[in-house]
This record gives sequence, structure tokens and C-alpha cells, in this order.
Amino acid sequence: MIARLRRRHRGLIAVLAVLTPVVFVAAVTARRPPARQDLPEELTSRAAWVRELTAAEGGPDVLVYWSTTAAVTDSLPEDAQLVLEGELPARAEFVHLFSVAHGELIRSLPADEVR
Amino acid sequence: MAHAYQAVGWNPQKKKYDGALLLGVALYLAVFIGSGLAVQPDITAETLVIRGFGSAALLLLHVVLCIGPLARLDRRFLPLLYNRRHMGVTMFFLAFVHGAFSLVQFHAFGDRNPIESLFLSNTNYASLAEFPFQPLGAAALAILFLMAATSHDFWLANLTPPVWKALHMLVYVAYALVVAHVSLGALQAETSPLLIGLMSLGMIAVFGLHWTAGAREVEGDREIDEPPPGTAFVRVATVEEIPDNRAKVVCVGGERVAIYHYDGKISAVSSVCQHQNGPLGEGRIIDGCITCPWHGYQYNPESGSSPPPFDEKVPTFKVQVAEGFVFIDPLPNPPGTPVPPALTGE
Repeated sequence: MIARLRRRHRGLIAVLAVLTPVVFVAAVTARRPPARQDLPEELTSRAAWVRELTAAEGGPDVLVYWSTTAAVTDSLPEDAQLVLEGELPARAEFVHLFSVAHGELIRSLPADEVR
Repeated sequence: MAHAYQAVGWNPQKKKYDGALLLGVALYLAVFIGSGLAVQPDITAETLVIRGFGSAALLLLHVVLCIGPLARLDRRFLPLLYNRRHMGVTMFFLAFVHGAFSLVQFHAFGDRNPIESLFLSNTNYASLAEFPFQPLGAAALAILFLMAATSHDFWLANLTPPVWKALHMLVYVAYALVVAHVSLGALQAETSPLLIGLMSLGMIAVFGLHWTAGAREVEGDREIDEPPPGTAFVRVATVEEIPDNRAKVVCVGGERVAIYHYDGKISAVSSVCQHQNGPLGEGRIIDGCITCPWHGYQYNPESGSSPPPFDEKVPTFKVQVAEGFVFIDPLPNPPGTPVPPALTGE
């Protein structure tokens, strides 16, 4: 009646009892925690002040912008530009922290505070 | 029983079982979300849902898989088996929420169809560390859906128990896919040994329990010797070794036979319940009927037929008692064939 089904059941368990731990051990052994050098160049070369500012304000989704005009709403000013490689132009008047994940301005501060 | 189909044949036990199940899941999610927020206050709600429901489904899958062998090894676990189907469907629901939120979170905001993105955004099959683990989870979810959708007795009866059982054996394939999904996915970024240790323990529990229960069954499946020349009957037990209102299970002709001792009589029927192929020989006589330990399906020990209005039938075997020994004819009668019981003379 179901003797064949029982044999198939035992066979399946036996095969998976070997295969599943092999896959698990191979996957765990292959683990490679993300290293800093794996990050894109423009992120790894960020200046210390940008890294400290973004870390203090939330996390990896926070980007730093500069502008000549102040933010009047919770959006970035129209002339805002992304700060790349920690370079803050001399004409920058304000620095803004913008959360990409939430799509909102977290904080604005005078550029002199970070110079 | 299968006299008529209902969406769910509720009874007090099932209500209690499902109540405890839902309470357990709700408690787990509350603790997971609460502790998640305490440890990582900035975590998003979507991430918490993905992790909480995914881990709950993983935990429940282990429980579902361990119940079967545990019930074979220790009868005290039988009540857990009674409504395991609802546990399985709950586990599918949790996995579905995990999958749906993951699909939206990781694939719905690009310029590709989310399903297309799920399967094609990462094709790095040559690397273990960057292996596309999400399609593995999707494949497991598809199997779990198939099982949840066919979990009702309607499908069990129409597909026939052996086909239904074969289909539901895919849960082991789903489990292997889930282990691969988790170890190639979430565990890749995990630095703490805790989750890796827990996952290892889970695998040891699932396969260790199946192995132990299987070994015990192989031992019990040792064939009774062929009948001596000139007689159709084989000696299978002594009357004394079969407890009252219980059975001894023997293996003849490659199949298990339950030899029941009740009211000074001995009867033999197939040990395979017609409902889910449960172990009839591990049940007992209740109200004059053999009662399956899994879901309570009942059969008359002399005819192998369920009491009216139910229509399940199991094969019966001719049986004799002589000088305290029980003999059966290894050739099964068609299901539902009445056979006079052998009197033990007690």
C-alpha cells in the first residue's frame, strides 16, 4: 500500500540530510562581511568631517549637500549640490544633511561650522 | 471524517490549538519587533516586518517538521500532530508576508517588473558569497503555497492519500531551499555566531529526529517469516503481548498490519489509515472502533469499515488464535471485507 512511499520518504530525507548541511557549511564558510574597500570610491574617499556628520545624523542614506542659499522648507534649496570627496567650495554658505531613504532634509547648518 | 466537506471542521480541540498557535505567533512578533526597536531605534518598519515574519516562518517550519518524528518517538506529542495543517498554513502566511514585503522593498521601485527583477537582477550564480538567494526563497514559497492550497481534506480525498502525501513530501525540498536562502542571504552579513548556531541546531533537530524515528521504524518493519509450506497463516505474536484495546504492528508482505486485541477477540487490519495514511496500529479501540491516533478516524476492527455515515475502508486480514499464539493470513482482503475475529478464550 504505502511501503514504496515510505521508502521514497526515507530516501529523500537521507539525501537532504547530507546535501542541506553541505550547502549551509559552504555558505557560512564563504561569508565575506562588507569591507570598506568594497564601497564605491566616492564613498570611501569622503572626508572625515563628512563621515562624522552623516554618522551622527542617521546613517548610510544621509548625503551632504552645500548651497549658497538657506533652506526655507524641508527640501533642499534649488542650488544645492552634493559634496564630493569632502571638498567644500569657498562660495558655500550652508551645508545640508539630506536623507535619501526618507526624502527629507534632516538639518542645515552654516558652512563655517564644518570648515 | 470525509462524509461531507466543510471549510474547517471546528471542534473545541482545534479552537484551542489554533488559539495557542496564533497567540504564540503574536507574542513572537511582539517580542521580535520590541527588541528590534530597542536595539536599533532607527530601523524601518518594513525591515522589521521582513525580519520578524521571515524568522517566525523559519521557526514554525522547524516546529512543523519536528512534530511528525516527535509524535512517532513519544506519544505525548500526538496532540501537536492533530491540527498540524493549520500550523503549516500559518507558516505559509508568515512566509508570504516576508516575501511580499521583500519584493516591494527590494524590487518594486526600479524600472523593471518586480518579479523579473527578483529573478534577473542578480545572476551571479558562480559566487557563493553573492549567490542570488532570493529566487531560492521564492521557490520555497511556491512549494509552501502549493501545500497550503491543497491542505484541505477535499484535495486529500480527490488526489488520494498516497499522491497527496507524495506532494506534501515536497516540504523537505522547501526546507532545504529555505536553509540555502537564509545561509546564502541573511547569514552572509551576520557577524554574530548566535544565528549560525541556532540554524545549525535547527537542522540537527530536523534531520536527527527524522533519522531516529526512521531507524526505529526500520527495526519494526522487519518481515515476519514466510508461512510454512501447506499453510497460509504465519505466526505474528502471542495474545499476551498485545495490550487490551491496543495493537501490535507487524510487517507482512512489505506492508504493516495492525493486530488488535479487544473484548477477548483478535482482529487484524491494515495499519494505514485512509485519511492521511496515519499509523492505525498506534491507535486504540474507542467505543468499539479502532481510532487513528492522528486525527481520530475510526474503523470497525472486524470489517475495516468506518461507522455510517462515513465511507472509509481499510483492508482486513484473516486471523486465528491457537495455544496463545496469533496467526494471520498475509494476503489482505479487499478494503471493508468483514472477517470474523479470533477468540482468545479469555
